[in-house]
Amino acid sequence: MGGYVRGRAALGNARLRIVDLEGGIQPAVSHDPEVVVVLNGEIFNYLDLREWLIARGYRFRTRSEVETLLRLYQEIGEDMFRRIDGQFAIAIWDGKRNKLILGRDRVGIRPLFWYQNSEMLAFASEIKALYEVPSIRLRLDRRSLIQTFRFWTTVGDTAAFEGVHQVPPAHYLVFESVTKAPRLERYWEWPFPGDVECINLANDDEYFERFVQELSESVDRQRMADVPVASYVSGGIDSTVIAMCLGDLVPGTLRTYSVTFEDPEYDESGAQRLVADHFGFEHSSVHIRPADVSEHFRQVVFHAETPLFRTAPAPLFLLSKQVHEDGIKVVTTGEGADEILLGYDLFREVAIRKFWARQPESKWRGSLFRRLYAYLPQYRDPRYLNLLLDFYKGTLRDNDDPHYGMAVRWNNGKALEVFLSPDMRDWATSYDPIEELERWLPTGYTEADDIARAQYIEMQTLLANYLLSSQGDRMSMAHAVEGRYPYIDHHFIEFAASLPRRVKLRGLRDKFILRHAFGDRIPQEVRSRPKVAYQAPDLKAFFVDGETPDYVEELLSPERLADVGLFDTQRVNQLVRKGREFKLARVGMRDNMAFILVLSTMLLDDIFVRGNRLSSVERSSAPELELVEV
Amino acid sequence: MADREQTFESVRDELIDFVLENFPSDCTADNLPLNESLLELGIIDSMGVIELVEFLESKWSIRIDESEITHERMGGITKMTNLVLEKIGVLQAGG
Repeated sequence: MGGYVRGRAALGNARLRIVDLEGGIQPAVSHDPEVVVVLNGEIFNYLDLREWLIARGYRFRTRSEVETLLRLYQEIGEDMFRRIDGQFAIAIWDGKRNKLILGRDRVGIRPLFWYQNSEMLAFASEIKALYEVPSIRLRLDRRSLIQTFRFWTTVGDTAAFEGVHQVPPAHYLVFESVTKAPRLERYWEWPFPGDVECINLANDDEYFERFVQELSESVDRQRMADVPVASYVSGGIDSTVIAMCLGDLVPGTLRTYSVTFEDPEYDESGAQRLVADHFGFEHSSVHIRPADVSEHFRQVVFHAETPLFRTAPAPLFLLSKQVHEDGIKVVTTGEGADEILLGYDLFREVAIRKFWARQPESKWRGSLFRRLYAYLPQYRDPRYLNLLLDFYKGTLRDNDDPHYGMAVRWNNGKALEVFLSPDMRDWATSYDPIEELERWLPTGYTEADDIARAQYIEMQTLLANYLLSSQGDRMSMAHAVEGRYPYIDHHFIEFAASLPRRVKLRGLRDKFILRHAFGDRIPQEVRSRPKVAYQAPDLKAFFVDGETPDYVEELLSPERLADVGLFDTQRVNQLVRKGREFKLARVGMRDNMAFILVLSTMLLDDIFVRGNRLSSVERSSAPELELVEV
Repeated sequence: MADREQTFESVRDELIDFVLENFPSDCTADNLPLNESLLELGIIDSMGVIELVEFLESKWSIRIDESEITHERMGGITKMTNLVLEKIGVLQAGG
């Protein structure tokens, strides 16, 4: 841990030590003129940048990434963000210009929050550090709750607490005064199909060849570390391909990790075993019982620092613990393939709705819905399909909705607002989260088609603020494990965007190119396996054998609910009763989401607003930072 | 005839109670629309369809066929009530 305090500025850092184990002390400091840099993350092209800077006359004391950033700032100033590849949150204090710059990576892997009042400006990688600032009193932000009900995550710069902002992905902020609002700059944009020149090759084989080359290069860039790198393997195609590419590059046997579930509804251990055996990986897994989810959910929310709509981060929290205990600090994952290569059923749903809308009387067109959401019983069982088709038929007319692809999900989210208290609902009538979301949409959005728009929203909401954050970085870093995400290396994103859509979504076959590019190297069972959404037991996990953890009883008691004032006591009670009495094999998504949203919000209130947070276990992962005078 | 009406009302009310108890919404027993699809009203989600069908089947010991799980037969409380009555023999098919 290192720190810098001079005059009115203080910067500090706790380091995980993955690259330049001995030399990368932070902050990096230059005294004349005064520039101080702290970095949370990895800069994958720092050696190239270092050479470039050496050629321009800079001398280096270390081989660290952070010193490279400091010199890069001295050479090109704010433009540096366009030049760096990686996953990062960076703070730069420019003492001569009395200026603070906060910048965040292109896709939002590393967190970065800030808070400003009339006297001071504070920033940190995690909100729990802001909590420690004596003059900051955290209160839940109602906007964040409405946003998460509707979109499953917050949007733009919103964080879960009033006055706390996040630096949005692909942006940096420049503060020229402690009390004045910062200047916000976007330095990169997700490419829309119209923004990039399409790669035009002769046939599928040529696309496959190019794809294999680009992805292997991305894995190679992303595996940068002076410590061993392991891989998460879910049993699906996305992580299998990444693990295979990584296995090709590292010496010896690759270590792989997965979660398995006691509940067969969620378990994919068979597919994971098949992958590990096929490639000869040294595989370990963590077995999750429903009670594991409820027992650890308090810690999960403590690390996620935002309302959650699913418990699925919990098993990954436990997995990173195991990885850490095995002495592994870096893991690759398959996150992002569904977004950039059109893997989600949502995209196919848009395609079918559009196709059916052209001939609404066609039974055959409607019946294509059978091929969606194969992992959900109401879609899998032909008994229920007719009614679902009747429902979808009703949505075909909304053709000019600018958020056509998201409408079904957002309407479901809006319906959840019945669980809010009358006061909250009254307030919510004057707050439109869609307007807030639209403020952050680029001009390319309006010109894009419905699939590209849905893709963009998925990347900005679910991917950035949930998959990479609540379920990704926050869960792995809770146990000092760093995730690497080769599919969303920005060079690979730009490559994927320049592929014609037909090689990504071929008819209704999702991620076509990923499933075929590596040919027989991937077992047929993995290639043809339909998409399975990774999930964990939600509502059910909190009512195992009629037992509910004490903290849940307390937080969802009518007294506490009334005191917090955000939720409708009676309706939450109804939900709890339903949890206790539920007899079906699987709970509906709406009940699951409502329960987890309410519980995680009540936990945020308990931990960060009431301050009932630091059990010894939680404190052990939140080290004290000592600042030293330089 | 009076019996039929009584049975209709009792089945309908049980159904309304089940919906209100299990699918929180802004509707009450007084204003729940009886002739509109619960799915389209946003009161249930797609999984709610399964919960409803399983409730109808276990409550009245009936079997609902695949061809009957449609908007036409189940799109609303009244339609579902008639479907139940038909199954338990109080109502002629199509009546």
